[in-house]
Amino acid sequence: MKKIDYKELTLGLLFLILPTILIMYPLLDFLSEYYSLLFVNKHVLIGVFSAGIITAYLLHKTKIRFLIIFGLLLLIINILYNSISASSFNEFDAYYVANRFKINTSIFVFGWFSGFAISRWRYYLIVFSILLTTLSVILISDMEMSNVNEMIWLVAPTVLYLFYVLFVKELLKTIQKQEKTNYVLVVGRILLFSLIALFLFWSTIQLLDSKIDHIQNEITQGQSDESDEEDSDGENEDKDKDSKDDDSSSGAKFNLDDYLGLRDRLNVSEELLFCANIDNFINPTTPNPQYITLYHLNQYNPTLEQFEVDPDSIVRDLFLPNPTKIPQYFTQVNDSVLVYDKMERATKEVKSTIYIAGLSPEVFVAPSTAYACQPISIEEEFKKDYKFAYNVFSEVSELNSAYFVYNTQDESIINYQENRYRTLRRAKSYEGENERFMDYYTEVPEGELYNKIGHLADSLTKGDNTTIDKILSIRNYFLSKDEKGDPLYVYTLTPGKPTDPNIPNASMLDEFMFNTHRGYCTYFATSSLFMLRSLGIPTRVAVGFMTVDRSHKTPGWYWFYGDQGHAWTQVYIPEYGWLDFDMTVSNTDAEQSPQPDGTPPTPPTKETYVGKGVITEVDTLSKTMQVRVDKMIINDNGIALDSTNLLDMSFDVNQAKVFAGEQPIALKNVKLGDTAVMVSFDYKLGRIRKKYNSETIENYMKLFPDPITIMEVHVPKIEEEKLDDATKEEENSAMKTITDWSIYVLAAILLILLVLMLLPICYYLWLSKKAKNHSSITKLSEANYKNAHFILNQMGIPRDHQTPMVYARDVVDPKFGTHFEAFVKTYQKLKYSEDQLTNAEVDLIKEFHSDFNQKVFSKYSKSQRFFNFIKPNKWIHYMLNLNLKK
Amino acid sequence: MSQDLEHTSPNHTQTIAEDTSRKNIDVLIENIGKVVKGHREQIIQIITCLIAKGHILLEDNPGSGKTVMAKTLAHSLSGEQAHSDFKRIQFTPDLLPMDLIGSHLYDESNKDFIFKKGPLFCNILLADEINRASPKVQSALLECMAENQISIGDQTYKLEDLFFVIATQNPIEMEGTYPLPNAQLDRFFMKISFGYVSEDIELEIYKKQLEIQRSQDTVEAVLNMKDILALRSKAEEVHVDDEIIKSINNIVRGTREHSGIILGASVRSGIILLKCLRAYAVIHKRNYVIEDDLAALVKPVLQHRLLFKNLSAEGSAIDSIVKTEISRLSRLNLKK
Repeated sequence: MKKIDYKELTLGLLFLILPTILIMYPLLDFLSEYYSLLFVNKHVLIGVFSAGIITAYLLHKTKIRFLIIFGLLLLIINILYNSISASSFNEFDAYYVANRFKINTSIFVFGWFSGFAISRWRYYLIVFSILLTTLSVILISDMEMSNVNEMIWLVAPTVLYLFYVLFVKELLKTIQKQEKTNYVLVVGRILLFSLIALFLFWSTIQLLDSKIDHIQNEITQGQSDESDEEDSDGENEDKDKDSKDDDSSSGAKFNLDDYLGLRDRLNVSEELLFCANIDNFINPTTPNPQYITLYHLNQYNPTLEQFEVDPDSIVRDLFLPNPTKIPQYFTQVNDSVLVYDKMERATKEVKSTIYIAGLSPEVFVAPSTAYACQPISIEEEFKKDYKFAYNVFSEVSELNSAYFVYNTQDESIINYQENRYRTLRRAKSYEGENERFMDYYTEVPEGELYNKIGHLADSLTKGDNTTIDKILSIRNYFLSKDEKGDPLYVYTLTPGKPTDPNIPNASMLDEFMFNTHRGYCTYFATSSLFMLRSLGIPTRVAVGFMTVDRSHKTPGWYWFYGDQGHAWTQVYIPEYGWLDFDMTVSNTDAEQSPQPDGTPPTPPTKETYVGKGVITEVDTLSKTMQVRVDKMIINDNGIALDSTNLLDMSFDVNQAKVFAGEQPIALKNVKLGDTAVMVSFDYKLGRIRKKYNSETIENYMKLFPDPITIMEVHVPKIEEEKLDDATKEEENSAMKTITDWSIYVLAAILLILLVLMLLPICYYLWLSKKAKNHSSITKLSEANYKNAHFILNQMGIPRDHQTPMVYARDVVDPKFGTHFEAFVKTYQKLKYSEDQLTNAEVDLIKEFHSDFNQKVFSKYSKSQRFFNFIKPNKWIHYMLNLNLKK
Repeated sequence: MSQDLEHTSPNHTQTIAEDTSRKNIDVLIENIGKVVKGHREQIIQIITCLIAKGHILLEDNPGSGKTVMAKTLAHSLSGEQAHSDFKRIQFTPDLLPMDLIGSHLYDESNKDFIFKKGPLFCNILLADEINRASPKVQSALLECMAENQISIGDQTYKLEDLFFVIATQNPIEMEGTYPLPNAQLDRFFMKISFGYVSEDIELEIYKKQLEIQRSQDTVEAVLNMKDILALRSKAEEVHVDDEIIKSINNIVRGTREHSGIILGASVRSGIILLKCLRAYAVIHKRNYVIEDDLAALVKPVLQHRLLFKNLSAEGSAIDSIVKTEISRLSRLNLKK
């Protein structure tokens, strides 16, 4: 048995095995996390790996019968595995243990193999580290990497390790063999590796490219959305664009903007936007649907023939909250709209519950006149269908109804209609109304067309005394039949362009009213608006959703699809406020929506406790949260706490679901300092009395368990989104930085290469100049000596370890026929002797340069010479091995 | 490494003053080369030892031309007789020191003991198969080589001024031999081996076999003893640059620090190397030492003085040390 080299053994253990174990640590960590190796602990994994690698390394180095031991080991492992998986004391346990054993042993065998290979094959570590780098790149491209830092953490160690291995391997070899380090080899390897690394980097970028694109798209989209928001002066209409995603049924996107003007065609989508439960009934069994208003249109642009939202409208009866910004279960109220809506008689409070599906939850939809909004939770089973829900409280006129054009057979509805007309006929006239109000809502643009409309309206309403009769006459006009018995007006989504080609900018409205009689809701709304206004009736156009009661199984529940986007007229009746009068002729399509009505979502369990406040502590381990509560709702009783007397409460969030807006998130993503809404449906809390009177809040809170069990936690979505954007932007900028850096690195490498190529030429020119004319014979001969060596080196005949004389005599002179030997001899005399040079020798040195250069260069063509000169590797070789010391 | 000592380049100027003895070195080498084919390097090494006042040990298989070499060298030099005084002793285990040194004999006529000189009293001594003799004989010989004189009783006999020992030993038949201890090997300036000649030269040797007997007898004496002594004094004038001395020091110290070498070179080996370098420079008609000389001499001078860890180190250790030094020297700039 040969003597064991303990020095080598220790060096190998310290500088090769230890770093390898260290590098495997994060990688195994990532692997176990990524592939959810639940059976094993990563510490055990790394322990097993190190055991394998160290044992194998020691065994191989100490020359103990390696293969036999390995074979025995494999045999034992196999037997153990079989026995474990065969043992049937408990099936699950056996499976569990066997799997864990399998993973551990495979890691051990991998470690074993690595240890053996490191000891046995010189290049194994290089191959190994390249494999590791590749593996990490694959992992990155495969994983949902949340940020660049994580990515760098995974790649950087392996890359560093590769560099390390390249250097240390060479160093150890040198130490063992007592040789000088071959720098050329190392530099060559580093260069090669850099190329590989660049390639890997590039491929990572390529692999991630699609992801990056996706992220970028999202970002730009987000930005454009934001800018739109700014443009629209806080109005909501553009938000509807949000609903355009995942619409596949009709190919058209739902966009309420289309209802703003008169176009040649209207695109409708058929996706479910939301469903609503409107608690408004004529009698206990007959529901009275209300149109869902989004906003009112007061300004009309006659040239573009489209409506605009007037930001300076004198009647501000539109409640426009952003439901997502209201804390869960808390109510945002705007009483001022109730003043503006001018409803004085026959009003009632109607509660509606809106379940948002396709629509953006930031758009507030409600029957007019809404004044309060309360976001609520959605029952678990409906969460996949509906993303958001809120209660709306509206003041609704008893006389308002979606039933105006439909010819229902329901007796109660017919009765209701009759009653309502009767009541309205008794309504006050517009005398005494605010003049400015009347002017604003009866304004008709100047023009021949509008005069024509006015005349038409006058002729239609001849003989009608009351407002409602005039309205009914106009409605009847739209519903009337022509001479042939066909309907005069036809509902169509594609009214087409004006037929008269002689009038280039023909009015769509003109076409509709006096020619084609074909159009969609906005046409009907616009024409009736001007007819009514010309009669002096204050009218406006409302945009929103037509409520259609299709199913009588679930009274009060209505489903709203994309094709139910609607525009209609609202008429102001004194004391009764704004009432909906939809002049649009019946559109059978809308009544028979492509999708049947769904099952109404069951109302969520009654919340018993809601607390809102700033999160002060999150314990993800014991799943508790500390919140400084400033507002509470206890059994529908809102308690607002004094800002000086906030309550620090702890909540048990074991069963809780955490939502950022509509998105469920993990508890660990909850950020301290955020405002959280804690919701509990615990029925036990429902028994606690609502009111606390004289007692202090502290005493009252003693009735509650500590901690309170919470079912839902809501943290703000907007901030979360911003955070998302921020991280995405960060990621993007990091990506950009990486790309930028890689460009810099590439440029630097190119520059270095260029310099490396140009330097030899510069060096040659400098040497040549020195070798041609120099005052001192010593310097002259030195320059000539270097010059000759350099030229020969670049031409591929380096001296290396030969002595100068042997090199000159045996290599150079026979090849080129130069007098290099004589020159070297003289040079050596100058170097080692104390004698003076003879005149002949001085002449020899002086004449050497031109003769030598000419003879050497004559052997090579010009291009050969050039390419030989610019080769950096030769130059580096020369500088490292032959450069003369100063 | 066959070195061409003829400088044919037209621009080259003879750097050393014309000197018959130096000129004749070339003739001497040529002369020996006529008989001993293909061993030019070894011829030069032997002459280097001769001029450096040293002795040489040839180690090679039988029949590689060791004896022929020694004989030819002796014949090429002329002494008081037609040729220099050449003696050959075949060493055997039963050889006694007296057989070398000589002994006192009783002279009947003078009734006195007279000293009968042994074969050591000669100019060139070929000690064949030195390792076959007993240590006693070996040490007697080596003592003479070191002291250049013989002491018997109260009388001291001086050896010839030019006393040059060419010892040979056979590396293969080690049985029944007394291998020279390291301390005694140290006395030889160089230990060289001949090795096999190239195919062409071997062919030539066979062709000339028929006439070799005649030619050997008629080897001309091209140099005389005075010439050799003159060369020796020339060698003492050779200039050794400080950097070369530094390199010798580096090399000698390097052998002591090298991990492949158990026993490094002594100070004496450094001195011997220095002497050999000067002699070698004289042979190459220089009065200064250059790095080529080092490259040529370090191995034959130092190798037999060192103890190596293993065979592979024996081949490469000195080479790597010399390589480093040569590249150090050849990188040096000129003195300003």
